[in-house]
This record gives sequence, C-alpha cells and structure tokens, in this order.
Amino acid sequence: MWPFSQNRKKPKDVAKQRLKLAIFFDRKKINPKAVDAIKEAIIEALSRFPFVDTRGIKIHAFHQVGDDKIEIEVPVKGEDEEEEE
Amino acid sequence: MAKKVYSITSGKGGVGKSTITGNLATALAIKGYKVLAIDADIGLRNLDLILGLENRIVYDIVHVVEGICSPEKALVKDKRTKNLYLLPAAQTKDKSAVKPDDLVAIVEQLRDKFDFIFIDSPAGIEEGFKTAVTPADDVLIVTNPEMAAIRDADRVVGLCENMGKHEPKLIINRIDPEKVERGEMFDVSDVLDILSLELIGVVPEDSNMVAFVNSGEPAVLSEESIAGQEIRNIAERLLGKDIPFIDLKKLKKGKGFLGKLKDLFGG
Repeated sequence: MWPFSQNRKKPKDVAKQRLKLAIFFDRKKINPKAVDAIKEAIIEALSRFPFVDTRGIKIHAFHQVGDDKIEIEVPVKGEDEEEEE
Repeated sequence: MAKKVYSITSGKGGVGKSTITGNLATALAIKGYKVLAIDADIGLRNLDLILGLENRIVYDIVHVVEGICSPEKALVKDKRTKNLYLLPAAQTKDKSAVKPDDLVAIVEQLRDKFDFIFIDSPAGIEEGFKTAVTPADDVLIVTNPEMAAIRDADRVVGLCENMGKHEPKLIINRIDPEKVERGEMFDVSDVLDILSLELIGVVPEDSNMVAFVNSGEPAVLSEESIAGQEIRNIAERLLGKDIPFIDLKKLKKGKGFLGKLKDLFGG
C-alpha cells in the first residue's frame, strides 16, 4: 500500500454508514427517529459500566433478504495489555 | 421474446438520464441496429438537444396520444446516424398528458419496427415515472456515486419491483477517479454494496461532456471521449457481450510526478 494512506475514517465511509442506515429504514418503513431512541436506550443501559465509551456507540444496518439486522457497536475504553514477545 | 424496450430512470434529477439515453441509443444505431429513443419527460423536453434534433421536430408524443398524427409520423429521423429515431416529448403539456396505457399502446405499435427502444423517464416517482417504466422489458437505473442519488435509486428499485419490473440494471454515472482515490466519493464497490443491483455500466466523469451536449453531438460518436467509450461498452453488454468494466485507477488524468512514481511501483 502507498505509505500516505491513513487510518482516519474517510468521508465516504461516514457517508456510507449514514446512507445504509437511512436506506434500511426507508425500506422497512421505520421512523428514522427510532435510531436515536435505540441509541439512547443503549447508552442508558450501558452507562453504569465505566469501561464503555458511550459517546462512541454506533448503529449499523445490514440489509439482506431474509436476514435484516442492525448491529450496535460499543467501543470499550482502557489500554490493551502489553503483549509479551 | 427478446428484451428490446428499456426504460432509463433514476428518481433524482440531473444524474445524466437523458445523456445516457441519447448516447446509448446512438451507440446501438451506429452498430447498425434500428433504434428508437422516446422522450417521456413531458414538459421538460431535452433528449432532442442531446441528439441535436431540436430543430427538426414537427409532431410530438402528445400529438400521437391526442390522435393528431400516427406514431410513425411523429418520429424524427437522425441525420448522422441513419438507424436512429426520436419520438420527442411535448414541451407545452405536463407530465400527466401521457398515461401509462398511452405509452404502452405507442410502444406496441412501434415495437416490431425496431431492434431497441429506449424510454427516457422524467425525474421523480410520480405518474410520469410510472408512464415511462410501464412499457419496459427491462429497467436501467442511472445513479451518481453520491448519497441523495443512491437513496433515490433505492426508492425507484422498490417502486419498479411493485410494478413487476424485477432486477433493474445499474449504471453508475459521473464517477470521479480522483475523488474516489481520496476517499471522498463512493467507489463502484460501495455503491453495489448499498444497492445490490446488477451493474451494467460505469461511466467516468468527463469534462468534455458539456461540449458534446453544447454541439448536439452525442459523445459516443467520438473516439476521444472516455464517457462515450464506456457508454459504447454498455451497448455491447446489452447485446450480451462480456466487456470488463473500466479500471478507474488507470484513468486518473493529469497526475504529477508522484502519480507516475506510484504507477511505476504498482502503488
């Protein structure tokens, strides 16, 4: 790979995630406000765990025939244990 | 019965429906097929400009619907490409002047006289869209690699499905290799991931396109035009040929020293 490529999330990836979610709710005829409601409920439920980074919670949509699902991404705070060689 | 009637639609306006329709029709006509392009965008006639036929229109599709002339009499024959005919939209009426059944009847009357019929749909998802799509054997959806166009395309896929038009084919128009490279624009794979449609065309952004429309000469007539080349490839795919899609990475124009260096090292 070209050494200039960065790990930072590309603008199109942000767009893609938003668009997939929007289209998912369009297709299912679900009020998009449900996304925020789900997020709030998750944040409320997980806020008592100090290792959960509630600000980083994300909702992803997956549309497949017969297998539509949303996935909730919950980032965890703290540092990784150093691996020994 | 072989597929020959194609409707070109998009939901969103300005994605290049008429340009694709005019060029695709021309591309097949220069290959020797007898082609009819129908402008179903009543009240917002544009296909005539793209084909350079705007000064030769006597009758239009609404005259046919009103029984003032026969469908054959309303056809405008292209002067350059002998096998290409245009059925122009009316400029004075509105989109509801031609109903789905009207267009079905017109297409049925003309069907046997042509190898291919392309119907240029208006933007939107109202009656004009339904009129344009109803006679189709197959639907081609044009989109741009950007959010609003893709979302609208998805809506249109659902509506086509409800009308019994299954598995429309996708044309991704105006994709800019440099923006894709910088991660600012969706790549072909992103669009397919979101829409899950069968791809039939990838047409790169081509700054010369405006000049072609200005001169009334379809880009497919030029060997120089990259977009024209890709639309000719769509024509080949409609004929059943297996043509690989364009490699956008090889297209980045005006690349400087770094770009050339990258090519050198296969970056």
